[in-house]
Amino acid sequence: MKAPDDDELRFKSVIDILKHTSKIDAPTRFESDLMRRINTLNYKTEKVRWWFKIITPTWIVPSIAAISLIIAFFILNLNTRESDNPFFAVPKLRETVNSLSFPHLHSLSATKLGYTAASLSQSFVTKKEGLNFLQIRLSESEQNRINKLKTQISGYLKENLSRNK
Amino acid sequence: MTDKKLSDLTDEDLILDFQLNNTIKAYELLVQRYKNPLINYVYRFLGDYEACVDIVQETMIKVYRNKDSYKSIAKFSTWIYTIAGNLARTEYQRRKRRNVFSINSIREDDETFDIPDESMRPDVITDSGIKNEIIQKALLKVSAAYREMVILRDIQELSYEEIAEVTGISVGTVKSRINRGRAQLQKMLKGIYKE
Repeated sequence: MKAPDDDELRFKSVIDILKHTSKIDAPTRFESDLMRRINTLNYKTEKVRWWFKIITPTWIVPSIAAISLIIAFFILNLNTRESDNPFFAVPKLRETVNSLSFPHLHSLSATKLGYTAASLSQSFVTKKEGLNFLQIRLSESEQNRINKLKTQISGYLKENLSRNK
Repeated sequence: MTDKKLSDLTDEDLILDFQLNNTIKAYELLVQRYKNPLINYVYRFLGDYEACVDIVQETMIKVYRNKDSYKSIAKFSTWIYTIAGNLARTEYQRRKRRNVFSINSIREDDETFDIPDESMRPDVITDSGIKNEIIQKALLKVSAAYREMVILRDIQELSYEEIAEVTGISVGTVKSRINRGRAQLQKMLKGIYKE
């Protein structure tokens, strides 16, 4: 047995008291409780493993994540306003601009005015200065007819106004 | 391997057998060997029997589940004491935070307090049960850092080197802490022993 050092001699009385304190014993059911706890733990871990093996193979988790990401991307995309790419956007025609701004003029269709599709297509000339606008070149007879129509329309309008009065 | 032979094995051989062959009997023998020393250690440190039983059971479960993390270079006793010590320290910290300890506030400095109890007088102290209670109360008044060392050295009779390994501090610090703890106890228990 190792000889006590100076410190142990200095505190001999305390050491003796501590050495002779009564020993505390574990409860009688200690082992049975312990084994029960261990068995419960084993059962739990086995259950989890079984679930993981059968239901979730290794590839399922990443594939589900990828699919949900794609779906989320589409859902979010639907909600965002697409900004027009100016290089791919079709320029607005004067006709459509007019029809949007003055819807009552749109009702006067080209056929009503006596234009044929062929004459319209021939008269559609795009100039460098105004790529966004369509210009119509009319023949003299066509202009005369338009003027006639204008006077007719203004006549109708005047008549309507006088009747209303 | 028969039961008789298993019981002759050292702790290190038993844990090795449990690691390699999953011999539950070897594990049970280790539990049988260490349950009481660990109960003593944790009880003296915490002063709560129910909590101490729970901690020792938790220690045994950790040994069971992490048997492979034990390396044969260390002594099994140091390994299991380290696990129990860590759990006991965690519980102690938790209780300290919650202010569960009602005996007194445990301080890390050297300040100690005499127990103002008439039963401390030597002529009154006759019953060993009361004596033990007083010793336990005095132990709980010792700073936690010193208390652990004193218990491991003077009650569990571990060597300074083993204590250093269990607690993860140097042998020199272990020795000084033990002496500080003993000095605190000496002040408190002077009524118990005859000088």
